[in-house]
Parts: sequence; C-alpha cells; structure tokens
Amino acid sequence: MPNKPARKSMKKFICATVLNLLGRSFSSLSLTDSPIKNETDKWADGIRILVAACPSGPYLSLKKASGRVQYTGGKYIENADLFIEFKSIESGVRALTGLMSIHDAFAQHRFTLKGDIFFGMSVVRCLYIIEAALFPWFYAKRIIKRRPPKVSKWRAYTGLIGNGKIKQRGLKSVESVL
Amino acid sequence: MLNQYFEFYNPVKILSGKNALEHIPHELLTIGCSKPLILTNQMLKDIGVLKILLDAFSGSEIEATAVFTDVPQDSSVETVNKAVQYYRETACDSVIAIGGGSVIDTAKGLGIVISQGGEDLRNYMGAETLKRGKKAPFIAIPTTAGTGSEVTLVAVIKDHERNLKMEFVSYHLLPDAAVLDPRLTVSLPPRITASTGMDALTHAIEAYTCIQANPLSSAYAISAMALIRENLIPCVKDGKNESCRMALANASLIAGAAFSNSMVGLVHAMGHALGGVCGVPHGDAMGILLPYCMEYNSRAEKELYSELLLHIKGEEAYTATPKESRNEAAIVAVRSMLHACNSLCGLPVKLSDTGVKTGDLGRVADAAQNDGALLMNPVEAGKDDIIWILKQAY
Repeated sequence: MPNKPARKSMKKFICATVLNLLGRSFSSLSLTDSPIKNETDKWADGIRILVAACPSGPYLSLKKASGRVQYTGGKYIENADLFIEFKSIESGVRALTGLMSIHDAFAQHRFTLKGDIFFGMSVVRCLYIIEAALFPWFYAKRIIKRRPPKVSKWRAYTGLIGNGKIKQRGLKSVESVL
Repeated sequence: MLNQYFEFYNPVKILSGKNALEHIPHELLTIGCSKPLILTNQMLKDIGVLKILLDAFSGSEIEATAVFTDVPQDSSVETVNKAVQYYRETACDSVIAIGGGSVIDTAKGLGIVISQGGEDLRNYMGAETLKRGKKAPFIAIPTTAGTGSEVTLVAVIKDHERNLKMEFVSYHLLPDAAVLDPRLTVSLPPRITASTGMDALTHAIEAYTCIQANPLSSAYAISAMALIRENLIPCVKDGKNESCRMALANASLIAGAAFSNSMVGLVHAMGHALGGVCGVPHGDAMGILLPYCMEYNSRAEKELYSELLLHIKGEEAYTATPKESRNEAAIVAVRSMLHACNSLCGLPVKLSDTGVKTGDLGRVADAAQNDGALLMNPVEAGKDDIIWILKQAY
C-alpha cells in the first residue's frame, strides 16, 4: 500500500498523541511507581531527553528536575543529553503503537540514539515498562518478551490528566477507594 | 526470519593469508593514500610485530614514518584525542591500526574525530548518528583472533575524566580493509589463543541466536562456528600450526561480521559488566558465562539452541542425538571445549577462579542491565536472573 502524504500526516498525528500520553505517564510514574522511580532515581538532575517519532517530529521532551521526570512538552529542544530519533514515521508509528517492541526497533536499526548508550538503555527500559502498563496485556504481550515489573495501571492512566502532575496524596486516596 | 526488516553491511575488503601484509602498500596506493598514521602499542613494538609491518613498506612509495605507540590496554578518549593531534601534526592521509581490540577501537575513535572535523571524541557518542564526513581511509590488522573488531561497527572507548565507557555505533566506523597474516598470531601463547577463541565462539553463537539474526549474519555465524570447532583445540595444542592460526583468524573475522549485523546478547552484557566491575578479561568471561547463558536461553528457545549442535559439533553428532536433547548436547559441547582449554592452558571455567567476589555480583548485575546487548537477547533477563546465572557460574 503506498504511503500517501495524507497517511503520513495521520501517522504523525497518532505518534504525537502517543508521545503525549507516554510523557504524561512517564512523569506520573517517576514520582510514584517503584520500578520507574528506581530507574529514574539514578539519573542526574537536569538531564534532558528528546524522542522524535521521525526526523521532522513530532517530539516528546522530558527533563529530570527536583528528583522526578517532568514532561516538558512536544517541541524540539536543542542539545538534549539523549536524543532518540526514529528513522521514518513508519518505524515510529509501529514502535509507539505497540505493533513492534522497543527491543525489536533497536535491533532492526529503526532509530538512532545520540548520547550515552548506557543511559539510553535505562530510558528504553522505562519505556518498555510504561508501554506494558498503558496497553492492555492481551495486546502488549505480543511485543513483550516477559511481563516487566508490575506498575500501577491506575497511576499510568491518571498521569494522562493534568500534565502528569497529580499529587501522590491524591492518588493514594483515590486508590484506597478503588 | 525473512519477513522481518533487517540491515546487513560489510564493505570491508579482506586480505587474508601468507604475507598478506606485503599487499598493504598497493592497497593504500589504490585508495590514493601515501602517508598513513600507524597506531599500535609499545608491547607490539617491543616484540617485533610493528617491524614486520614497517618492513612491508620498504621499497614502496608509502611514507610509513608516523607511528603512534601510546595506545593503552583499554582505549581512552584522551588517547584518541592525542592521536588525532598527532595525525594532523604529521599531515597523514590514512590510518593503519595493528593490534588488538583496544588499538583498533582507538583507530575507530580517531576516524570519527577526523571525519567530523572536530577536536574531541566526547561530542560524537551514540548509535548511528554520525554523518560520513571526510573519512580517513582505514586499514585494520588484528594481532589476536577473537574480537573481530576489524569488521565491526562498534567502538568502546573509556572517558577517565567522567568515569564513563563511551559506546559508538556507526557503519562509518568499518575499516576499508582488514588484513590477516599468520605471522601476527603465530606467537600468541596458548592461554590467549584459548581465551580469544572462546570470545569468537561466543560472537558466533550470539550472532546466530540474537533477535536481529538474519539469513546473512547466520550464514557467517555458521561458518565461524565450523572453523572454531575444527581448529580451536588443535591451535591451543600447537600454536605454530599456521593453518590452524589462519582458520581461527578467519573465524574471528567472520564471527565479527556476523555479530556486527545481528549484535550480541546476554553473555556479552554480563561479560562487559564483569570486565568493568571486576576486571575479568573479556575472553575468560565469555568462556565461563557462555554455557550458563545458553542454558538460560535454551529453556525458552529450545529449537534455536538445538540447531547449534549441528554447527558446534558437526553432522554426525547432530544426527546421532535425539531431537529433544540436542539443545543440551550443544551446551555440553561448548562446556567440553572450555574444559579442554582448561586442561591444556588453565583457561578458567568458574568465576571463582578469576578473583571475583560474591559481594560484587549485585554490582555486576546492575552494570549488565545497562548494556545495550541485553536488549538483543532472545530471552528477557532481569537483575534477579542475571544474579542467578552469575551464582551458577561462580
């Protein structure tokens, strides 16, 4: 099937939406959820991460500040410490919508990575855990080798509201009701 | 396998065989170069290996006077930056690296800075982000048969200032030519032969089993396994046997080309970590860990690991072994190769033989988790799994 410009625009729109959701969940989970928090606690404060669904965007920008990962929007930023860029929107959309695992995307040279590859592995590990949390298990298990450390789906989804800035106390009280 | 996207790239011209070094002047001239910078280390100069190369230039139009021998055991960013400065001061037009993985990685680092027209290697860290730039022609001459670095797209270089191991992955790191000459490996002691041979075997096995294995990389891996099967033990027994030496040198190169295109997995992730945390030599770590990681992976990938028996042990053993136990027989074959090396030259078979302390295992597992190779493993391995494997291998 030819990749018409309209199709590409649609794929970019889908990627922009998924990146937005990923950013908010990442931010929320880094504050509250132990597997992500354990991972991101090791990151230096001030470190900036940029993910591009293809060379012309859309983007996901994250920053570690005040001990948590903050979703800093969907705009390109200069001089990110780690820059993950999918080589084409076709690769970006497959990896971001769970049609392909992040492991396979890396193995198949679907993205480039500028910066410290060892730090990149930590980011990839987090994305892997968040993808498993965001997608229903019957869907996620096709691309996940083994169920990653369990994270709270509730926290992953509530992170989508309010720029991932929901307070820990609020989450606890809602969860206790549930 | 073929319905998956894959990439395969190996443009390196191979010069392999007796007196292969003598063809280097011709190769340089055909690519329009006349003044190479020769990178090596002091030890190779002292034992006369460098002289063999320099003698190859006598009577030729090549001016082989720029020699940089300050490459340490572990390649470092400071060394690369110094070599870049020397390359520019001496107005060289190409690079020849003669040595082991460290020397060849230094040359790759130098190539990055030269091609990008920069000053500091630290600016170019990453995977597949480099533009081709003005690449300096590069010839790699390995003096061990294990790393396969002469045909790989990877370089690992230490930044002592930041205490960071920098990894560079780019197709532009591949040399223009690799030269395998038996004179360079014939004097290697049996212990090094065994250790580097196990490294090459691990490259081939992991290239065959990792998630980016493709028809081309697997063909290379199979060929390498067959050469190692036939030649490793005879070569450890009789290092002067030039035929075995060349077979192992080729096996190492072929396995290098295989894993450069399919990458390595759990054994390397753990081996790199053992090297970084406890200083275990890379080949020793590969030999020790390989059978244990095969056991771990083969539980989930039994069929894939059963196929290995054919390549590691040969046709007769494969057909004589019941289908359901072929994966275990492949592991036994690797283990018996390791034990044969142990009895011939003392190659360690357990981590406890290498001075690793049980208290270090947690830190090793942490470091292994951050290694990119772990993503390529066919089976997921978390920190607990890695510690379990380390304890088994202890």
